[in-house]
Amino acid sequence: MSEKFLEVKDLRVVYTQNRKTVQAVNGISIRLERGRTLGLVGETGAGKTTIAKAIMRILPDIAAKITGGEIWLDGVDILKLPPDEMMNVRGEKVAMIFQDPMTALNPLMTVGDQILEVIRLHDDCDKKAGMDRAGDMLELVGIPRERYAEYPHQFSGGMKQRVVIAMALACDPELLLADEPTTALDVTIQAQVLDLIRELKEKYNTSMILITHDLGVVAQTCDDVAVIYAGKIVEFGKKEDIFDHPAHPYTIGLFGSLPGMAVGEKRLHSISGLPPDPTALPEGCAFWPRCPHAVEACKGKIPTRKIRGVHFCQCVKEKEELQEVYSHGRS
Amino acid sequence: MGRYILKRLMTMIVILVCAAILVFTLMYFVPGDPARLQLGVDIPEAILQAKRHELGIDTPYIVQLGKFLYNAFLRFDFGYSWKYGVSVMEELIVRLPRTLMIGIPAMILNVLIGTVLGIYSAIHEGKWQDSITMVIAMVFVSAPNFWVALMFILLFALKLNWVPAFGIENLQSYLLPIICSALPGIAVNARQARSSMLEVVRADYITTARAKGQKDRVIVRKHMLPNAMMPIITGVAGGLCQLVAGSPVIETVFSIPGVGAYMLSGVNLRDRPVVCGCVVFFALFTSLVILIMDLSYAFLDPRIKAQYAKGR
Repeated sequence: MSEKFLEVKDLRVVYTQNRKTVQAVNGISIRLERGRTLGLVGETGAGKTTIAKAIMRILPDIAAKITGGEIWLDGVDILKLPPDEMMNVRGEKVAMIFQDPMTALNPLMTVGDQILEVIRLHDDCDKKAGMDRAGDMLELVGIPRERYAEYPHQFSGGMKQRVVIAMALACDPELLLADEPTTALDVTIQAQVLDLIRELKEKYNTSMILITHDLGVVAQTCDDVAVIYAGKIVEFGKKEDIFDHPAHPYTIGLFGSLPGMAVGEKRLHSISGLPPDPTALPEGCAFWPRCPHAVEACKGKIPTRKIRGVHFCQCVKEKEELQEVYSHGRS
Repeated sequence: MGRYILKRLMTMIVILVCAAILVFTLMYFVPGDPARLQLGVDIPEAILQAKRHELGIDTPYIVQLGKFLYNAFLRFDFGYSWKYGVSVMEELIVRLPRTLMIGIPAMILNVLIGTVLGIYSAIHEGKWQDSITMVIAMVFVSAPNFWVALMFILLFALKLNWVPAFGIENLQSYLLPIICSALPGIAVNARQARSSMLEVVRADYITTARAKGQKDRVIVRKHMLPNAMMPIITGVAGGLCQLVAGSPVIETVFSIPGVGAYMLSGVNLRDRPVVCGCVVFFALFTSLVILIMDLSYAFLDPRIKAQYAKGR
């Protein structure tokens, strides 16, 4: 029934900037089954977008380098594919929805032609049929097909994001990478766009990786959640596991920083300190300088603790202690 | 769109009149008596006075200015050269093709070679191809073109004897002037094209195009180039204006009787009708080129077209 569709093994990516090495992704492993949605949650700069771009192999050539790991998609290690075969994977098997719809579209091309471009790259059809399909895609995302020949500047932000989604879905991709698809939109449009993505995903049984820092979006959309900190997965589990029994102190901190609905809280809680400098990550667990429960052992090798079922956490504390941390952290 | 063009043409006329007033005033107040300059120092006052009357410079400034503007803008007549007594307008018409014979081919070379070099350099950013291209471009941006021209004459005309060193006897004699005027423009344009391509390379829609699985070559042609084109056009148009207005130097070095050389001789002899005629002509040419450039933006960018349509 469910099959392993995407498997990322120990992925490592570094950026080189002014002779400094930025360790963006430090050994990420992900498994994703067909039709499921994985949420990647974490702060800005945690390496979420880099993971998605590595899967697409569209990291900037000069600055970024994949230094290790494998990415298996449907039984093929796509990191080993020659560039011309990778072009057939991009857009057809894997598609990406970008963060900022304002800049993701070419301002000098009509929106229809931009959708047509991806269709004609992957499907053998003449221009007329392709334009028809591009029109269908526009209607699918709720834009009248009469607007085919309009330019991006004639669309609002939410409409542009719909165009970006139409473009990503035009060739029925098997894996959809949605990189903060709603961050640039206001809240009412966010809900519409999320509903749209979910609907289309169910219709085509697409797998999806949803990148976000918005826990509300995760709750609405995802099956599994991976919490990322400084290029590592610190906690992984089913959505229910993570939301009801967060174990890692960082995850708890994240939830703690959500505004509570209850009694009039005056201030939002925040995790003290700043994310670590990715050019000089601390030894051991990258979170220990900010962790309220840090002990000496945190600077050493961090074990992976199984909590329940698929729920894992990377922390030196024992399972029981972690549960305790949870109840403690909330009080 | 039509309304926009009309508005721009009106502005252009205002600018031309301003330029004309400015250059006339400057030439009027330049020290030195034109009559004495023409006839020599030891000339009796009566003859000088007669000469002044003949040149029409014995009336007050404002009368002379009014007469000049009336003739220039309503009768398209800049008067006669004080020195040679030839109609300035007729002389300009004879000389213009020679200047354009250098300016237009130089501009075409500039667009073709400069833009291609810039794109090539941008695609190989940080690699040796990029460094070499940019160093060469830097050299030709910095080298004064009269010096380059002299070196070329030494090498190609005197040593190798491939082309004539000066004059306009045959088509080959235009070869060196064209190359010498084009070189700085090519260098400037290559640098401009490179930097505007690099700006576009990092744009999100390029990542989008790559994510679609588009080939790199097509991405450059279809997505990058059109978006990088506007600063390049600006540079090329500016370059053409400079080619024509900067023609005095090259025309002097190669002894080509073009508009530039004409203006220079006018300045040297304080020949006011010649200088005023040339400057107004340059101003007209520059305004036209800029207008065409602005209109070409509308064809490249639908956002600008929408603005023009609103008549802004």
